[in-house]
Amino acid sequence: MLLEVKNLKIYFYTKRGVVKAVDSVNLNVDKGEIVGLAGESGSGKSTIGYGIMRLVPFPGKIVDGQVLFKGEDILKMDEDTFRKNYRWKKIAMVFQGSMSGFTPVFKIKDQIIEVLKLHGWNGDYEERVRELFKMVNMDPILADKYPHELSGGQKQRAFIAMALALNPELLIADEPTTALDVIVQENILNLLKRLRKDLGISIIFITHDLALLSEISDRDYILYAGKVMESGPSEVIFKRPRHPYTQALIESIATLDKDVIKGIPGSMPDLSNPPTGCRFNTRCPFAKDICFKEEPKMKIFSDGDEVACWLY
Amino acid sequence: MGFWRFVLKKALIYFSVLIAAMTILYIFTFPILQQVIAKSINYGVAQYEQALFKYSHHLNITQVNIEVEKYKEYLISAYGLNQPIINKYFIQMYNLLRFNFGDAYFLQAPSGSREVSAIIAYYLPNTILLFTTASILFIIAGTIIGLLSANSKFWEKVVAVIAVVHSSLPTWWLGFILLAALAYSVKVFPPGGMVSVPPPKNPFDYGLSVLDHMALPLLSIFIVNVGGFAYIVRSLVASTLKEDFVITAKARGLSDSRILYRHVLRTASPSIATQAILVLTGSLSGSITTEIVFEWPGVGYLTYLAINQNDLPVILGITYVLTIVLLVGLFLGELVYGLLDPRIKVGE
Amino acid sequence: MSKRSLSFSYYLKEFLSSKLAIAGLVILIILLIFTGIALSIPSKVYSSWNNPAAWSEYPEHVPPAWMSIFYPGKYFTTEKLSPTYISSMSYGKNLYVVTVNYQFSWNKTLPPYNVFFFVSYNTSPIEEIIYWTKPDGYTLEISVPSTTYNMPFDLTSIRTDILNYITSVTGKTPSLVNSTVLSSALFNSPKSNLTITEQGKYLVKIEIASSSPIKITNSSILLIGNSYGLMGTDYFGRPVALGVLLGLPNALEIGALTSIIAVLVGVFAGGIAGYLGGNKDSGIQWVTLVFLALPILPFLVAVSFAVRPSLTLEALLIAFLSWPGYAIIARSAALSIKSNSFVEADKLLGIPSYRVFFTHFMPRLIPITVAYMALGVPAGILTAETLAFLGIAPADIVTWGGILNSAETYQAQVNGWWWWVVFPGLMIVIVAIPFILIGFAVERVALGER
Repeated sequence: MLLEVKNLKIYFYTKRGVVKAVDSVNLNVDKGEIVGLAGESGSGKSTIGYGIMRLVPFPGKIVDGQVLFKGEDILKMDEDTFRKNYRWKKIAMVFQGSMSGFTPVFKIKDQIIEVLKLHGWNGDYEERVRELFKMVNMDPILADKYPHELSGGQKQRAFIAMALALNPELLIADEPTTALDVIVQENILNLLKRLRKDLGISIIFITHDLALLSEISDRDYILYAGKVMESGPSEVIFKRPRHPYTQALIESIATLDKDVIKGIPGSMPDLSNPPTGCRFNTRCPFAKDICFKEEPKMKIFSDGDEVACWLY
Repeated sequence: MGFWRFVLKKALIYFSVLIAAMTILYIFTFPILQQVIAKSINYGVAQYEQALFKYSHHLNITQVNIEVEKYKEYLISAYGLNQPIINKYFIQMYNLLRFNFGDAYFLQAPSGSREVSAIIAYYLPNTILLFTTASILFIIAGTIIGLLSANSKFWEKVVAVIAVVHSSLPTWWLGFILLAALAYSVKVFPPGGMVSVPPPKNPFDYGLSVLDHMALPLLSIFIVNVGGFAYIVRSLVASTLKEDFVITAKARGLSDSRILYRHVLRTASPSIATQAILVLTGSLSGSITTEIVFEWPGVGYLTYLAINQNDLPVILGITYVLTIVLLVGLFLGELVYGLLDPRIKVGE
Repeated sequence: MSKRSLSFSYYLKEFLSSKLAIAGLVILIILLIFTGIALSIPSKVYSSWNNPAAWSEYPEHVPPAWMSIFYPGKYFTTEKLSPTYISSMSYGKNLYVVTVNYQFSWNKTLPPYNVFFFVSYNTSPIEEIIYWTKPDGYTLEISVPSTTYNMPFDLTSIRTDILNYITSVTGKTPSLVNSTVLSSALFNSPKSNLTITEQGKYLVKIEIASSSPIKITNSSILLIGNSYGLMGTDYFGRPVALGVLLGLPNALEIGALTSIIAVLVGVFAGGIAGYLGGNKDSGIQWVTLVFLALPILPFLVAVSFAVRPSLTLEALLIAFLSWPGYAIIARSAALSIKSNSFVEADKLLGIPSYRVFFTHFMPRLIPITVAYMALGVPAGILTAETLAFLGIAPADIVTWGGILNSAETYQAQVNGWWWWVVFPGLMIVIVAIPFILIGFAVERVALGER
């Protein structure tokens, strides 16, 4: 197993209280797998990505848990070792499409070369930049430009190129297509699929848009209020979802043959004061008494589906 | 191409601003200028009248009066007092652009010239020497301290304290205190002037003497202004640190110091440069007042002399020159911003 | 996300939570109390500031009285002596002599700065003589010139006899004749060539002879100290502490006035520019640049040649050239409000643009306006005092800059009169501090809101 996240807890210590953004999450990624991490905003999905990269912003802290990369707990390493050996070298991250990933005052090419040099990569830098750009299907001429001269889609692909610079084994893609138009979205998805095929790279795809995951991921984790509600192979999740939340999410996907789109009434609970029992209890149409008293445990089914729900 | 268009556009704007500023100055000082001219005309006429009475005995009263009237007319038209305002305005603007400020009432340049422009030309370089040196020092020091304080709680507190100093301490008063303490009580530095009297012949010794005399005023300007600038730099750096690219930079393995001193500094540098120029324009007034305390022969000291002698043309000339200095400074600031920010340099 | 109220009480609470803000408020209240004291001083005292004669009984350019703590015996304050007894004698019908006797001990190491004699009576005398007996027993006879009969006089009025005495003791006539030199003759020992002060009992007898009966209506002697008050005196004997106090309301008034006007104009201009954008924005920016370009100091100097500005006018003029700085700040604040606010939404709803501006947009600029109004006061005070230092101030008011101007003119730093320089300037710093603290605290709250 390439990546094993065990019992990860990330809390934010704010003036208004302790926000339990990620509360005991388990996650696995195997070599060459594309794993989807889905949930509403505030579900904690992006925070997990930051946690794996050890980039949790203030006032957040990784409180408990292990993140095993090929057996080694990267949370226990000191910052220097992690920065030199793992960050970007073994695990890289691509950020939300709307974020400016590049420093505005340096050329793209120079920033990629900087990354190469800092990690001790030797060789023909210009050639490598060209190689990377070809991998993401971009004209190498664009590397000689400043970030503001590129379109949103181009910037994102250039950033993916930079992410691949050191041949990482795992790529965390945090909402990489948000704020990009549909056609560009499609391009990026295809690019990621191709990278998995050509380079054998594993990908964690974080998004709120389940429709995307149906196209790209092998397995999915459905996150709600900082906890995993359901996880399993994409097929099972989309064709036979077991958890009420997953069912509601899939119902709410807009497709060409639907007349009515159902939303999910209510809003996420306050994570500084999470409810007792199942976190979905206030919005669940099937909620029973026990859902308000005790947290359901994960149940494993034969088709690979894992569900945390009192219905089962 | 885009950059040069940018420069040209800015140059035109600044030129029009100069004209407008001068017009405002003209509006405010026009009445008193007219008054002064009228007074000197009356004085000239009275003198002429007296001279006539004394030396030309063959003229009777009516003839004398006619002559006096003719002289008065002559003076009025020579000074342009009878021209419509618009004409006077254009003449004044034209003169200003050619740096012709007329003659001073009482002061004169060491070369003997009574022209205001010559007088100012003598004093201005000394001001530029003192002010520029001090500014370079406090801007560099302020930037370094500001950067340091972005990550260090200790430096953050230091900046807060010295920023308070900046807003409350008059530069010239600090100069006064330093002068009393370090030049009179404990005779470490010379008590004023720019160079020892008599000035050393050897250029190296001359330079040293100037430095010796410059030390205290320099120190005053530096102490008062370094804190304010450090605070500005700190705010700019702090707000830049909140931007997205900082996290992504950290994600790709860049060290914190590299991010701060290369990526953040470079990104914030256009704003820092602009702020530097603004700060310079703000600190100029305090610095030239400091010259007075130290008898440093610059434009500030000249202002003091002119005030004491009621020499209005000199004051107007100084106002104009300083306006130009300020505008040139702001213009350069915009250029520097354009150069440092590739979003403008390469054109959007 | 919970909704946070933009109400005044919220801001107030946040503001008061900062320790620095409380400190600032406390200092401000103390200053306001002193301002009240200053304003209650009768205008007679106020106008006498510019009249040197009113301060003739005060020691000139002496250090603060508390210096005696550090140098006991060397520094002392003015002492008033009353007569120990008055005796009158008559010799026949046409000669009446009255003697006013004083006795005091002197144990300081320096003589008084000056001695003032107050003797008033109801007739015109033939003769008035002072007998000054030093502790060593020697008596000096000083005759009072007839020109100073029946009015207060000091040592310089009776210098002729004293100077003769000095010459007889030292062999030289002093080149500089001031009260200190004359006083040293009366208090220092001839043995030391009049350099070391004699400590001990002094007897002073003032003998007045007249042809008609004399009645003494008032008599006292003032031994002028060589230190005075909390902050010493200036060249004219005026207490620096008084000057500092009198300057306080003026400084606060001009600082506040300048700041309020400049910030209001600036925020309005900047707010409109940021809100409207486009050509109107560039237009306002151009105007801002025009005023930014004019150097405040020389401009105000030039204008003051034409008319001596009153306090309000000076504040207006300074504000006239200070508002651009605030406009720039307000404009960038406005731009960021515009980018993350509901301006577009409101416009779509059909609310007219100017209404959105006043009801939704401008109120969001209020916190930063208040912050800069506070921060602007020290800047206004600094500019005003700098102008006063250059000699440009509203007529007949006391300003700290004006006091420092005199100090510079009379070369206080050369003569070592440090109190004249330190205290007025220190006040400029002190008065700025509460505004800066309050301003920073408000700014922190204002920015925290975003």
